[in-house]
Amino acid sequence: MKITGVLAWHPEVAMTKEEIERSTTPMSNSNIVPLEVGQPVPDFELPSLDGRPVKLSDYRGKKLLVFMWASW
Amino acid sequence: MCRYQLPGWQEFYAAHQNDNFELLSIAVDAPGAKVAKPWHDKAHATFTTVVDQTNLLAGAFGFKVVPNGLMIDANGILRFKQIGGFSIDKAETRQQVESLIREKFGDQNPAPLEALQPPSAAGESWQQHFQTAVRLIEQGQHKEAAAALRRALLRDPTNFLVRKQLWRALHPEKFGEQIDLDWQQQQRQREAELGFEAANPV
Repeated sequence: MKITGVLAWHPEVAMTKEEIERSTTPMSNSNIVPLEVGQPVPDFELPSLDGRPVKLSDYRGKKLLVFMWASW
Repeated sequence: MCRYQLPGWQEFYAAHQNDNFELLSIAVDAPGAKVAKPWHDKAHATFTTVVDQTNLLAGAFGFKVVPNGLMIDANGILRFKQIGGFSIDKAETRQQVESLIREKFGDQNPAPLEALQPPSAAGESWQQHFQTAVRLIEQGQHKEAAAALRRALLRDPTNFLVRKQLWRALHPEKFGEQIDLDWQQQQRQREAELGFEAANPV
């Protein structure tokens, strides 16, 4: 079997160029809230490492640094 | 890599605890608390870490990378943001955050915060596929999770948060207790050579 062009991608690669071109506009989620300096940050709730619900608004009245990271 | 910053932030947090300052750490790990907790514990962190397993915030705010930093004042107003490359190890970052801690943040007159809206159900956003993937990862169905992540990536090809989880689903052995950074570097190179580069892999 002959494999040519962009289809000859390494199996580990996520997608072909063709697929990228065919894909919809990046960030098709239309209700993105822009994070703008000077604007309030909308409230959200996420579970802590021990499963306790934590809200951004729990920190009202304090200066807060939010640090986003990942284990990878 | 961002998890290596946790001890640095712990030291920073301890130094500023009496400055009306708090630190909230958010791990964006699809497998959940079990992969984030070892890094929090290893840093002896006393600040709170929460887990954003489904990338709720990335979807809502439109970012595609970590590490990120947001500085929010006592009234809930965003005063500083850095998306990608945010690091305690950079003197400039430390100074910026410290100067905001010292600054008087205006009146203590908090207006109620609006709640973040859940992602739209209309259309297929990358987030919906990502959520499916998280469910499949929890069920140990890594192959099916990879397919869902691939669909997520098709919706947002430069999203590095999605891509890393796809690598993890395809190669769980590279993301064990030790994270194989050399392999990640090679993987990025392989993809870059094929004309497929992430937005801002940090």
